[in-house]
Amino acid sequence: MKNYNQIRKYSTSLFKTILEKKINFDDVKNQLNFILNNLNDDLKIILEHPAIEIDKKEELIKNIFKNKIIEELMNFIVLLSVKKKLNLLKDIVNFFDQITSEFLNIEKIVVKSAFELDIKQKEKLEKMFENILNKKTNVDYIIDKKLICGIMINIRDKILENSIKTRLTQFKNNIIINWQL
Amino acid sequence: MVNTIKSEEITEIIKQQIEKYKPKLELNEIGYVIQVGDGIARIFGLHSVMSAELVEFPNNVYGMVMNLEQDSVSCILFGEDKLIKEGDIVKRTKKIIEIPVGEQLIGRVINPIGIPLDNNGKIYTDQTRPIEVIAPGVVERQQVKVPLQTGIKAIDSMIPIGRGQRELIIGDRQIGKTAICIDTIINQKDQNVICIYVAIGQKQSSIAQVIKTLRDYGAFEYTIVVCASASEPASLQYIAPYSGCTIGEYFMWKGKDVLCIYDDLSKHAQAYRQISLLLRRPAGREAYPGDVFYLHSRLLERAVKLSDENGGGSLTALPVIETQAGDISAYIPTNVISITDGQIYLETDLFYRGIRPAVNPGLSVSRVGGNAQIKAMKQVAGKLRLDLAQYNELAAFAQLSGELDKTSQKQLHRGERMIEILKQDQYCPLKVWQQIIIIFAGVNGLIDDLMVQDIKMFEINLYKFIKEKYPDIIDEINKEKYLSDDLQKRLTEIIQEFKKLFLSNKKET
Repeated sequence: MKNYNQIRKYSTSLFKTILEKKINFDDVKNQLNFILNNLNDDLKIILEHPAIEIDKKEELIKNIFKNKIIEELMNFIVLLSVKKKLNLLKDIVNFFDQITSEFLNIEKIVVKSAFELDIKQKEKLEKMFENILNKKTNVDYIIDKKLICGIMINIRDKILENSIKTRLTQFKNNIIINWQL
Repeated sequence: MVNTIKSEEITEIIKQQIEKYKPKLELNEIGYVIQVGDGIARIFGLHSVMSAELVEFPNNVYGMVMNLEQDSVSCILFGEDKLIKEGDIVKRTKKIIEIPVGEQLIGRVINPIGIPLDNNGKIYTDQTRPIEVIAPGVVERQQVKVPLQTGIKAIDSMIPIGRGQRELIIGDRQIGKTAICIDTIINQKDQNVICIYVAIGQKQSSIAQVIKTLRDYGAFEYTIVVCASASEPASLQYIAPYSGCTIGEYFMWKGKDVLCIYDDLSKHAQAYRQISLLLRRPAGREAYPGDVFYLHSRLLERAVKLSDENGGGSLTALPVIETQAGDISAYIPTNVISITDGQIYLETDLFYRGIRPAVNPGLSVSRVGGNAQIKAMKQVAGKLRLDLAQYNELAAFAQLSGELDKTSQKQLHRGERMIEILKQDQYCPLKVWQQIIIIFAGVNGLIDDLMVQDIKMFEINLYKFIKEKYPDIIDEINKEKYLSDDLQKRLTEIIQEFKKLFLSNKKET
């Protein structure tokens, strides 16, 4: 996210366009992910090549994504290729995701655990989140074996850790401090 | 005796701690690294972080928050930036950056965050202090009134330094700025003064040399060296003087006298300039940032003489500034000159003419030290300054004209001897009584009939003579701190007695 300001500007503009045209956000998100999956490095090189004319690039994009994505996104991709910002697309999509969640009053939460949580546990967690935050939540579950056992919850810029890994580090620091005293 | 710990004891302690340990849920505020390089990291998140807060990166690297921007936070790193990569999690510590302080630091060499650099093991202290504090206010202070003897004749007589004063040492490279500092530290032996030498941006070899000298002269028993050499990142060089000052303040608030030497602040300003430019702060004159004055003023304001209700401790600051080709009107020198209570100006010309320490008495001043000088010294030194000023004026004139009248010749004659008196070897700090006696002899014309080249020998032997034959004179000067008419008369007689002896001895050889 070196070019944080650029990413912010592109994704906010995209968001505003989508909002003005009253297009469904989920559709846009799906289509953006579709573009992201199909935009390989070779294609990027062609799209950002200075010797290829813009018209040709536009044509190429239209041929590839025709009937698969809306016109606004088509134009957006063309714009990015002209401005040579296609490498920022992944970050732009992520940021766009953040803005839409904020707009729709949905909180994005990441839950890391050492083992897969069962449905009951997940339901319980989600219910707890909704009660605390008073918001709809969108929870991502990630399995991280490094935790050894336990859970790590990440909401916005707060992180709640309760895992064997953190306890061991706490424990280590504790011994060091007490030893020094 | 070496302390040995049995392995069973360690096991027992760890066992106790395991029993006592209570796990707690950790709720941390975090951010993510957006960009890292050149010892600077930009972080997204950490919305409620404080300015100058310590933040924790992975791999045990710490940083200090410098810029709070709209979407991001910029901080300087105290470790290797190679260990950090984009996307890493950064945790808040909710603490303003602080360093360990305590008696255990005495006699140690540490880096600016309190990590020992000598091979004498870990430093165990139970106290820490934040490195950025606001200096004590007017109510907590009192005037500077106790002298801090440097042991250097030229300084103690003409540019006296008091405890709690800030006296700048300024001059070109390689003309003895550090030498004055080291002599001052050596002279604090048995004076109940804790000395802190902060080396900023210097070569490791010269720092090692300083440490060795201090060890050789037994000065390490009351000295702490804070070391941020040229190989250290700019962030450490930037906080080094504040760390040194913080350690000094710990002792000061315990009622002790502290001497803090910042060697040197030009390098400190350069380190801060580097940080500021990397943080994209706007550049001003000579590319220094706008707050480079505040950088030094807030540091030097922390030099104080505390009032008796606060324990009466003091922190004397001796900042060092290196000039380029004697230019004291450059940006940083003028800044620091205006902040401090006077300056000792060293001149290349004098140095190469063999006048060492190369103090220029015309450009050097001490604005508050006069109050701290003992009376006896004031009595003899008042005339010295006048004599020297007249001599310098005449000497310039005498180069042009061939013949001079008798009074002028006499003045020149006296001046030459005065200059000779003020010369002093390195690492040979003198006691107050020694300084008073030799200057007394000089200003009263008692050595006018000696050859200039004999004066050094005369001086050394005079001290020996008085110490052996008239130790009561020494006691009286030390006790009364004043030269009564009686004492002056006796002193004159003694010096004349020794002169006769000296001259006759010389004839024989």
